[in-house]
Amino acid sequence: MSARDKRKRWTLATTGLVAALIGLAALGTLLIRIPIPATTGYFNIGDVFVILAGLWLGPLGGFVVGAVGPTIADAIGFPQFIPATFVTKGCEGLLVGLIAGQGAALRRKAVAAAVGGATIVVGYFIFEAYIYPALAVRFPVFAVTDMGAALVELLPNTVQGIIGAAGGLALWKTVSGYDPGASTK
Amino acid sequence: MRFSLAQLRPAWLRLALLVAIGLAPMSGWSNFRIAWLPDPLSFVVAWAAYSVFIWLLTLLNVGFDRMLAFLSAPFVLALTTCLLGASMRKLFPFLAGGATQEEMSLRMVTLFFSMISLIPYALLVVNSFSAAGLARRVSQLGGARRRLGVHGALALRVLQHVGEVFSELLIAWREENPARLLPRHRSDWHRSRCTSLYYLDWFRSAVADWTLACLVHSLEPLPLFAHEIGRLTARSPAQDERSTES
Repeated sequence: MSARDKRKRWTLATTGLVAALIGLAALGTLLIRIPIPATTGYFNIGDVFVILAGLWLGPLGGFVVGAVGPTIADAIGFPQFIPATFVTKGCEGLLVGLIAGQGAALRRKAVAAAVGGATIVVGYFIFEAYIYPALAVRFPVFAVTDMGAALVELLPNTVQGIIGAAGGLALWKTVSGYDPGASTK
Repeated sequence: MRFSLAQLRPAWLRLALLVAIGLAPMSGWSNFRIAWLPDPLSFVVAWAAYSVFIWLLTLLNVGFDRMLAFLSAPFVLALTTCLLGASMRKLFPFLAGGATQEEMSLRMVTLFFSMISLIPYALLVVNSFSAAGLARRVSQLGGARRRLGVHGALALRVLQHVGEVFSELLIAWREENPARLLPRHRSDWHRSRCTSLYYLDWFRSAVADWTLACLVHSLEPLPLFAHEIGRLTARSPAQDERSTES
C-alpha cells in the first residue's frame, strides 16, 4: 500500500478522532455563547475544532465534524439554526480540508483556515439574509432573521471566524504530530 | 431499587423513548405553556418543569453524585452565557436589533433553561447505551455491518469519554488552579489601573487553556479505546468457521 493510500484510509483511529472532535465542537459551541438578540443567534468558539478537523483529518473528517458537532449544540437552545449550521459549518470543514491538502506547509494551512473563517461569515449571511426569509413564508419557525439582522451579525461572525481560524491553526500546530492509529498497531 | 433506562430492552425502544423525551424542545417546540397561567409566567414554569423532569430522570438513572457532575458544567455555562449576553447587550446595543427588554429577557430565560435541561439530557442519552455491549453484539455480525458496528461502538465510547471530560474538567480546574480560574484570587491585579485589561487577558488564557486541556484529555485514551473495542469485537476462529460453513 502506498503512503498516499494509507493516508486516505478511514481507520478505527480516524473514527475515534472524528467522534472526539464532534464532541469537542459541540462543547466548544456551548462553552462561550454570546447571544445576539437581533437574529436570536449567538457568538461561539466551536469553529476552532471544525477548522482543526479540516486541517488535521482532511475534507471528509472536516465535513462530518463541522456538520454534526455544532448542529448538536444548536439543538440545545437554537433549533431554528440547525439547517444553516449543518450546511455552513459542514462546508467550512470541507473547504478547509480541501484547501489544506495532505502536506504540512504552514502557509497553505493558514490560507485554508482563513477560508474556513470566511465561510462562516458568508454562509450565515446568505442563510440569514436570503434563505431564512424565503423559507419563513411557508414555515414560520424560520421567521427569525432578515437583511437588517444579517447585517448586524456580520461583525460578530467576522470576529468568530478570525478566532476560529487562529485557534484552529494553533491547535493543529500542537496536535498534528499525534497519531492514535500508530499506538494501536 | 434504581430505575435504569440502560436496562430497557430492546435498545431501539430505549432510543425511541429518549428521542421522544427530547424531541419537543429540541425541534423548536419552545411554546409549550401551561394554559391557566399568564403568558410569560406559563412559559417559564413549563420550562422549569421540563428541567426538573430531566434532572429526576438523570437522578434515577445515574445516581446523585453523577447527576451533580452532569449538572455542574451546564449551570456554569448557562450562567456564563446569560451574564455575557447581558453585558454584550449593554456594551453593544445594536446587537439587540430592536427587540424589547422583555423579549430579550424571555429569550435569555429560555436559553438558560434549555442549557440546564438539555445538556444533562444529552449526557444521559450518550450514557444510556453500553459501548462494550454494542461491541460484543457486533462481534456476532459479519461483513460491512460488522465494520460499521465496530466504528459505531468506538464513536459511542469516545463520545461518552468526552462527556466525562467536559463534566469533570471545570471542577478539576477550579480546585487545582484557583488563581487562574477565579480572578478574585489575583490580589496583585488591584494594584494596577489596568485591571480590566488583566481580566481580558485572563479570559483569553482561560478559554485557550481550557480548550487545549479538553482536547488533550479527550484524545489521550483513543489508542486504548480503539484497542479495547478491537479486542471486544474480535471474532474467534470458531465463529469464522461457522460463518464459512453457513
